[in-house]
Amino acid sequence: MYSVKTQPWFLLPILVAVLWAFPVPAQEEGSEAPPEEGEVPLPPPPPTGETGLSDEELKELEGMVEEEVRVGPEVFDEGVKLYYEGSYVDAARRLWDYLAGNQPGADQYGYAEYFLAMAFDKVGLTHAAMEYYYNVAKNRTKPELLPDALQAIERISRNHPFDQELILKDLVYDTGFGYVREDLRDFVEYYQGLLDYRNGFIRWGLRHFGKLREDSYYLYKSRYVRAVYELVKYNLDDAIKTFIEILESDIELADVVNSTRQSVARILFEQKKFKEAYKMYETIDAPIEKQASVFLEEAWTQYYMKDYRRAMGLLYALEAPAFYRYFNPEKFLIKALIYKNLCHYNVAKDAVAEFSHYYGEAIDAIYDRVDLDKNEIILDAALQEPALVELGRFQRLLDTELGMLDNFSSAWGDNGLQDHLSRIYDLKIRDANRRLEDKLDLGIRAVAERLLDFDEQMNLLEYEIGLSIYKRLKGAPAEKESKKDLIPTSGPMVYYEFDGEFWNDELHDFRFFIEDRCFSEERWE
Amino acid sequence: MHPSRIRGFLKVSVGFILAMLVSLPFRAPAQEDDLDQGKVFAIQARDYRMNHEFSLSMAFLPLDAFYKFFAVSGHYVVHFNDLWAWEAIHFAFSQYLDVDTGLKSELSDKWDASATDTPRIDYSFDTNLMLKPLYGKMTLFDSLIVYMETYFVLGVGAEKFETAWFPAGNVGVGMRIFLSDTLSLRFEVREYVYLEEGGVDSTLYFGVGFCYNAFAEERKVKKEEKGVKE
Repeated sequence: MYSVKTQPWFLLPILVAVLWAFPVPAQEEGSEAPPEEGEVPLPPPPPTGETGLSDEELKELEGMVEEEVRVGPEVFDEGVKLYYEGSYVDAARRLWDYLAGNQPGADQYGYAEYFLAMAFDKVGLTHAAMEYYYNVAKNRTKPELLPDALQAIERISRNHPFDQELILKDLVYDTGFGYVREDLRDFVEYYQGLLDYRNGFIRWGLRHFGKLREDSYYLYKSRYVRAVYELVKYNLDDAIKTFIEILESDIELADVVNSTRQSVARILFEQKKFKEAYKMYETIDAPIEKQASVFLEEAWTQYYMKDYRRAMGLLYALEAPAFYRYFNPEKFLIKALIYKNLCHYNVAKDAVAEFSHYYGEAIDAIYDRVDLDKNEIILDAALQEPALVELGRFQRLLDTELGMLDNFSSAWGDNGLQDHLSRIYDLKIRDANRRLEDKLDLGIRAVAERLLDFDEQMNLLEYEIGLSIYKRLKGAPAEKESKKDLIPTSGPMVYYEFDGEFWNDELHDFRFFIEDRCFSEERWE
Repeated sequence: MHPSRIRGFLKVSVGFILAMLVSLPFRAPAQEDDLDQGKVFAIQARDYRMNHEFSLSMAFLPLDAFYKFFAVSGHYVVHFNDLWAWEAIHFAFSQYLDVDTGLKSELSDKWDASATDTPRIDYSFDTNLMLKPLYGKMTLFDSLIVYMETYFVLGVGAEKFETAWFPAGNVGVGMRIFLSDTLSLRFEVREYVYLEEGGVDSTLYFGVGFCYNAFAEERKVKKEEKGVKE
């Protein structure tokens, strides 16, 4: 095979001819003096337009050139000093100067990344902090920083939404950390086990969970994962046994305990132990804005216990502004059922009409087969699907932190740190959006199916209500003797009449007063 | 004090109480028609219930032209229930704690006139019926819920002046802010009307007191009672 690479000798005369024909132009008068001895000559940037490169590429090129300029360790020292003095913004600026002016192999590079991560952490840029903690833990140019970086990652992962792909899949799952401290090992083993469970490698997952320390936070989380896995397999008894184990321990981990309580209550509900289920729901003490599903499930429980007053009170609580985004078509179904069971047929029909008013447009969109992601109700509901919630929270965090960057423009604007962070956040937001879009289709489909299901149930209920009205008209009206509800003037219980203003402390205490207008059953017989 | 001034004070006091009542955002009781779609109540156990109340107060008696009195007072109240209570004894001691307004010296210096010496109050005691129709909660800076109740008192007693004892009746209104199960803060205004030789006179009383609620746990609504009986 003929190749110019193997036989370059024939090109030599051509090159010599070209060089001869285009000599280097002589330096003009008044132009820049030649560099003095000892100075590193910087190549002048080529004028825009003549190079054929875009502005973006030119900036990239400039960045590369800047990287070649070495910045001394005194800049790093200054950054660390500023950090310990509490000037985190200025510390980040100097540490970035050091990083931008050195190659990753530089002596203090790993430390500079770590201190920069801590500075970002302190000013509230948790994602930027995570990126740099990730670098420290993944590259391990300074292995002694690994425990501190992992500890920071663990802390942020508990308190903030974070990039699960980056931290869990790329770092925790794909990295062998060797020996790490016990508490950090729990973090690593738990997430490695969790991802094994998610990928269907149950035995591997169990092996990771088996390495967790007794009474550690992650041990209880792992038990929760195991119980949920049993639940998925519909082994209710095994699931409830594991859940009860968690509840019987004296852990004070609100998220694990509350999730466990809700899961136990759901199982009890499935087993038709409504009283026990309601008692379990009542023990949940999560922040009120996280209790929408608890209120709804409690309402169903009370409905089956035939305590309509309490069930309806819980539905009223769901009208609170804290739950305004909660996708909740079931509310109208329970409401209509309660009114129907109390023989208030007109208002029962109103509840059906209310359902149509809220969701009619979305249901029409489903029937018309238009793009469902254009429908606000369906899109919002899909974003509440569990698979999308965490990603949505992370995306909102990125948006918020990107907005925060403007606050630091005076300190970080001129040395390129702000541009660098903007680029990181922009890329991550695009990545998060792409992942959201991938999962959104499934979410939208699930929401659409639920809506159609409820629409069908509401139509059926409307028909039944009509039938009940017809029956009543045929029968002789004879009101059932019912005890009148009296509001005491004073007593150990205080009755605050609801006037449209929601107080968080009252949401669990709403009761609905309505008379039972059904005829006595004997009459019908 | 001149009878017309007494009537004035009484009018002011009664007017004050009425104005407070009228200014309350009363809602009409539910009519039967309203119940067609049902009504919603938040039904909660009272977090704070009084039982045997002991208090120590600081008071200010401002309506004497020559002297402004400060007083220390104490009371014991037995609370029958959440609506009625009996303030068995209310005792106020004000001797030697007077503040000279400077009016006497001004009369003497500028007008060369000496004022008739008015008798100064030494102490008073009274017993009162207490009605507590208002109980509720407020938010402090939209972050903390503060519970309070408003009460009215009506009672009889006696006031001891430098010269003699005089029988007195009193009417008052106050507000209690609950700090804990056992501690509360009371702000109150009372008007004492006493029969003196040859007429009637009155004393206005502003007080603020720290109250201790003894045996509070006896009145605490138990967990099982919190579920509303259907």
